[in-house]
Formats: sequence, structure tokens, C-alpha cells
Amino acid sequence: MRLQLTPAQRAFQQDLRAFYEREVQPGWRTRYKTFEELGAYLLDWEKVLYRGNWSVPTWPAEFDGRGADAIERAIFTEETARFDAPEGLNRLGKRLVAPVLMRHGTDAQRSHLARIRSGEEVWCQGFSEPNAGSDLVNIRTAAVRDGSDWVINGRKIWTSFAQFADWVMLLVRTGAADSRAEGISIILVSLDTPGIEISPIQTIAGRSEFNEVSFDDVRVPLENLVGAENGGWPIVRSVLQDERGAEFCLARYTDIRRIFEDVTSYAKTDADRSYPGRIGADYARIYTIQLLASDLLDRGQRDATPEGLESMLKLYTTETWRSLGDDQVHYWAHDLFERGGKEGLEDYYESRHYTISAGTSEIQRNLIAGRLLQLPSSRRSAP
Amino acid sequence: MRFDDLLDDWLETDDRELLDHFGELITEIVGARLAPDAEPGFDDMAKRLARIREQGWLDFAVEKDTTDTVYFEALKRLHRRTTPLAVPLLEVWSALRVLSRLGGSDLLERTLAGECVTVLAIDDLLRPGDGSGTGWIPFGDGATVLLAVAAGDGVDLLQVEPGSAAVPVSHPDPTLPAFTLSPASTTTVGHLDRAGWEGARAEVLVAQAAALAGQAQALNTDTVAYITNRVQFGVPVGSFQALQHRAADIATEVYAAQQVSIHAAEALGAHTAPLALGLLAKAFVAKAAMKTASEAIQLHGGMGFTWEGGTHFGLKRSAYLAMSGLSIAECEEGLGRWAIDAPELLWAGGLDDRGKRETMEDGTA
Ligand SMILES: Cc1cc2nc3c(=O)[nH]c(=O)nc-3n(C[C@H](O)[C@H](O)[C@H](O)COP(=O)(O)OP(=O)(O)OC[C@H]3O[C@@H](n4cnc5c(N)ncnc54)[C@H](O)[C@@H]3O)c2cc1C
Repeated sequence: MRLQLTPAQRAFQQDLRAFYEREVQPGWRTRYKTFEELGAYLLDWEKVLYRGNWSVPTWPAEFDGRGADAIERAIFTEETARFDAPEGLNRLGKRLVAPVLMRHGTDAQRSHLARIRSGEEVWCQGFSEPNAGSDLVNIRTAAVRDGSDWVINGRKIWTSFAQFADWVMLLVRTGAADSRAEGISIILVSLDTPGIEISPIQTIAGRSEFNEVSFDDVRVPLENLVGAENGGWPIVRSVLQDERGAEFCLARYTDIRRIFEDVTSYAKTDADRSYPGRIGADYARIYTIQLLASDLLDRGQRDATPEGLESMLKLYTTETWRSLGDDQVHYWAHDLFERGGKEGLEDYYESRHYTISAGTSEIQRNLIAGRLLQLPSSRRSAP
Repeated sequence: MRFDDLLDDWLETDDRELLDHFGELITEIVGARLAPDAEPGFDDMAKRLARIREQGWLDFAVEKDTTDTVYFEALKRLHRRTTPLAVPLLEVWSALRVLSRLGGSDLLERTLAGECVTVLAIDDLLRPGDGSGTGWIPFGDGATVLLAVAAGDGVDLLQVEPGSAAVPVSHPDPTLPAFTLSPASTTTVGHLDRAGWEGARAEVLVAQAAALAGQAQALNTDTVAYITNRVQFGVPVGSFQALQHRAADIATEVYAAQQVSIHAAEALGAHTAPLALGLLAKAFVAKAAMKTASEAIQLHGGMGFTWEGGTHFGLKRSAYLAMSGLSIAECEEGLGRWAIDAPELLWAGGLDDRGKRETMEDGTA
């Protein structure tokens, strides 16, 4: 893709730079002692984004977004990385729930969009369960019709940001217990409905990013069903693909770039322990994330994305972060563990996050082998 | 869409047709696979090169309307085959392009006219010595050799006549017999200043990266086909998850290597730090290609260890390209030192005015 900026793209870039210059508070990462304080700051940041008309640059204009094209999306990442600007707390609402509502929601359901855009409504994703992780179609949380309501019972796990969220997009079983993918539906649930309990789970970093959410006779209006009853799985599949797509990976890329830039600043100060060969190797790998993401964005615009390519980007991006984390231990330990503060260690723990969440690396490899390389299937490697 | 189509579908139709045509021509010229005891000679090679020249593919490297994208893509096509070409076209094209930096020379004209075969001594361009040709110089016994020696903060380019004390040296790729030289006399062809030398080195590194990306792609395609068809335990071995995951990993590396090489080709001309870009391209692609080649042999089982199976040709060509000039580790180290010294790192966006000269669509800067 030849990147020559049109006047409109140039204006997009300049507006964004001016906005970030004005609004990003340097040092925001280290200012807050607890995850709850950080969460509160990130909730505020959603409103700052909204006031600057930067909360949903990738949404189409008909939903009051900026309709950013592939190049503008890349500009957005580039500038976000350069200014080390926060991502906010509603990424699931903006990037996961919103596209589903745009494509499959009723008019009433689409009225959530304005509140997602303004930061009034934060959303979380209630998919995984204790016995349905990689094998997501094994979910058991059940929704049963009763009069004008669904009655929901069951347990979700690893629900990120539920403690800050107002709503959850919930995956429920509406078909028979053994109906697998054919009996799954999507229901929108307000988290202040009686019968819901949210219990934080401590992460590897000792903070409570994710939660267990239990549902005990939770009553939700029938009209909160998205799409057809038992027709949730095809919708979820496309959402999962987006979750591995360019937007998500570019957001990770901004994190990885920031950490790597810290490593190189350290290397400037300690020539004996800089390991330039390793810096060069990691630099080349991190640099390449953006090339893969740009290719995917470009293909999206040309309608030329083969099934499974998102998995390559997700695998490449997240494994690159994981190996950068490993290299911090192997090569730049002095920086990370002796000199570095708590923040450096948290980044290191975080390097394990994304090879597990949003579909593990092993699941991505299965998808690449099956969909892109069309290798013969085996029961043992489902899906 | 098949994985292989994915690696080509980004090209403009005209360019793709041109390159398809080039690929077919080369396939026709490659000829029979080499036997273990065969020693490819200079004369046969020169005949093949003459056919390439007759079809207009020698001038191609230095023609005005050959864009960098198409030039480097042609190098990829050249190497996207399981039986490598027994012609040092990368070294010949590189010599032509280095010579064209001098703004015309007698040697350039004579080479284009088919009066001599000129190859670039890649090691000496990247690590200039004292004027003896030290690295692997393919067909250095019969070719005219273009050598670089350090001069000021650039290099002098020297011309060495065919056969100047050429000594055969062992070399990974049996299709490209290599020599070192200790020439008694040389002729100075010209001088490259610091920027010219940097540009020439970057271009050779990007050329090697393109060739390696093509070679890796061929090995990947061949391996996927092999494990799809080879049956053990009553099922294709490609249905075993252990192999599927390894295939997925190398395919991901091949795809990434392809993207790096396309980016380097596009960005090189206007880049503010071309050598860093060249180092990055070679470091990345050569590593991916060596991993692919190594896995390709393993996933072919015993067949991978035979001469007849042919997978070794790709492994050896990859090793030659990866080792000649600068090794993978030297590229990584050079890039890392550059990154540590740079006031700010450059990133691929091309959207960032530190990374690349930008032009508006109307051409204003
Ligand atoms: C930080 C974090 C945040 C998360 N946030 C959310 C959220 O907001 N909402 C939500 O719904 N979920 C969330 N998740 C859950 C996440 O999607 C699951 O953890 C993930 O899908 C893996 O499921 P599991 O944990 O049950 O692991 P398992 O599926 O039990 O996997 C265990 C191991 O087995 C491997 N494995 C499993 N199946 C196969 C197979 N077929 N082939 C080869 N290997 C296999 C896995 O790769 C893994 O290595 C989050 C997870 C993390 C870590």
C-alpha cells in the first residue's frame, strides 16, 4: 500500500495531533495506585474523547463516527502510540458490541450506540464460562422464555471490566443442552438487574481486571435478544474475527512500541548491557506488526480478506509481545527488575495476556492451518 | 482464496502479467535439476544469461520505467522455485544498478551489450576490504567482477578481469559455484560517496530480502502440499495437529516476510535511513526464510534429507543468501546499534513525518 496522504487524511492527522497535544496528561500511567483509580480515570478519558469527537473514529458517519478509512486508522494508531494516549475503558463497547448492534440490532437496540459513543454506557463481553473457554460453543448459561422476559441462570468468567460496566453482551444457551452452536443466542443485559453478582478475580498482576459474573433468575425483556433466537453463533463468529483484526492488533502494537522504546532508551544509558543484536531483532519484529495490520485494513477495503488472515495477525502480534517480554528477562533484566518500577513489571505480566485472551495462540494456529492452508482436518485439532 | 494467491494479489494487473511472464521464462531456462557430482560451468551459465538478455531482462534492472517495486518483485519471482536458477542474476543485476549510480560507464554498456558477464562481489560491497575479492563470488572464474574498496567515507569501485587468480571455495549452493580472487591488477571504474555507498548497500540487502522471501514462499508451498498428500497411520500427516501448528507458524513467517519485503521495496527510494531499512529487511526475511527452510526439511521426513527430493536446493539457496554480505546476526546488530543511536525510532506507518518524506496527492511536499 503506497501511503500518500490526501488533504482529508492530512487534516485527520492534524486534528488528532492537536487534540492529543491538548488532552494527554503525561505520566497518567504511573499516577494511580489502584486499578480502580486507574479505571475511574479511564472512564473520564472516554468523555474527553467524546468531547473532542475522537471516541469512535472508525464508526461509519451514519452512526456519527468519522468513517475513518484504512489509512486514517493507521494514522490513529501512529499518533496514539506517539502521544502514549490512553485507549479508554470502553473498547469492548465501541469495537465489539457496536458493530453487532449496527449490523444486527433493532432500532431500540441501536439507541445504545449514542451512549456508547458518549462514554455514558460502558459494556463488557460475557462469553467465556468455566467450562467453555476455547470451546466456546459449550456454554451452559441458559435463557428461558417466561411471559415477556428471558430468565437467565448461569455463570460467566473472565469478564473484563465488568466492575466498571453498565451492560453486558451475553452469550446464552436457548436451545437444547446438547445443541452446541445451533442453540446459542445473544442477549443484552443491564448489569444493575437484580440477581447479578460480580466478583473480581485477581490477575497475574494482582489487579482485578476481570471478574466472575453469576446470574440467578435474572429477568430481561424478550426484546433484548439480538438477531434470531438460536442464531447467535454466526454473529459471534464474525465478532471474534474482528476481535483478532487490525484494530485490536494495532491497539496492542501501541503498547508494544511504547515498551520497546523504553528498552532502547535504557540501552542508550548502559552500553555494556544493551545487547544491540537483540534490540535489532525485536525492532524488526515489532516494526512488522504495522505492515501486517495495514495489509489487513487495505484488504478489508478491497474486500480481499481470506478467511483466517486475522488469525495470522493476532498470532504474530501477540506472540511478538510475549517474546519481547521474554527478552526483557533474558537481556534487559537490569532495566526491568532492578531499575524499573512497578509499571515495567506490570507490562511484563501483561505480555502474557493476549496470547490467551480473544482466542489462544493454539486456536489461531488451528484456524490458520484449516482455513488458510486448507490442511486436512483431524478430529483432534477442532475447531 | 488460497494462501499463495494472497501473496501476489496486491500487484497491479500489468505488473503481475509482466512478472508472470518473467517467471515462466526463467522456469524454461532453469533446465534439468543438478546431479550431486555435476559442476555447473561458466559457459553454460553464460548461455542461459544470454537468453535472459535477449528477452530484454538484463536492461530491465536499469531501465528508467522499472519501478523499485517491480525490480525487487522480479527477484522474488526468480527465487520462488524449488530448483534454484543456476545463474547469478541477483549479482549481475546488482552490478548493473551499482554501475548506473556512476552515471554511465563503459563496463555497464559492455555488460548490457552481452560482451561480458559482470557480477557484484557482494561481501566486498558490504564490508570493503583491501581490493582482493574475499567473499563468495559466484562464477568468479569466468565473470568480470565488480569490487568495492574503502576510499574516504565511501568506496572505489574496481573492475577485475575474468579469471584473475580465482580460487574455488566451498559454498552452500551447488548451483552457484563460488570463488575468491587475488587479482594482480584492477581498473578503477568510479567512486561512490557516502550516500551512494549507503544506497547501494541498502539496495543489495533489500534485493537479498526479496530473493529470500521468494525462496521461503516456494518452500512453504511445497511443504504444505507434501504434508497434505503424505499418508502415515492411515491419514495425511498434515492432519496431525503438531504438524499443523508448525505449518501455521512458518506460513505466518512467510506472510510477514513477504510484507516486509514489499514495504522495503516501496519505501527504499524515499527513506531517510535506507541502510537501516535494508538491515531490517534482511534481518527479518533471512531469519524467516531459514526457519522455513529448516522446517521444510523436517516436515518432509527422510525425503527431505535426499538429494532427489530436492528440498535441499531451497535450503542451500536460502543459506547462501542469508550468509553472503552480512549474516543475520550482523544485520540485527547493525540495526540495533542504529536504533540505540537514533534520536527517535522510525516506524513503518509512513504516516509519521519522521519516517518518510511525505507528498500530498498533488505532489507538494
Ligand atoms: C486477560 C483476559 C481477559 C479476558 N477477557 C474476557 C472477556 O472480557 N470476556 C470473555 O468472555 N472472555 C474473556 N477472556 C477469556 C478468554 O477468551 C479465554 O481465556 C480463552 O478463550 C481460553 O479459554 P480457557 O481460559 O478456558 O482456556 P482453555 O480453553 O482451557 O485452554 C487451555 C490450553 O489448552 C489449549 N487448547 C484448548 N483447545 C485447544 C485445541 N482445540 N487445540 C489446541 N490447543 C487447545 C489452549 O490454547 C490453552 O493453551 C479473557 C481472558 C484473559 C486471559
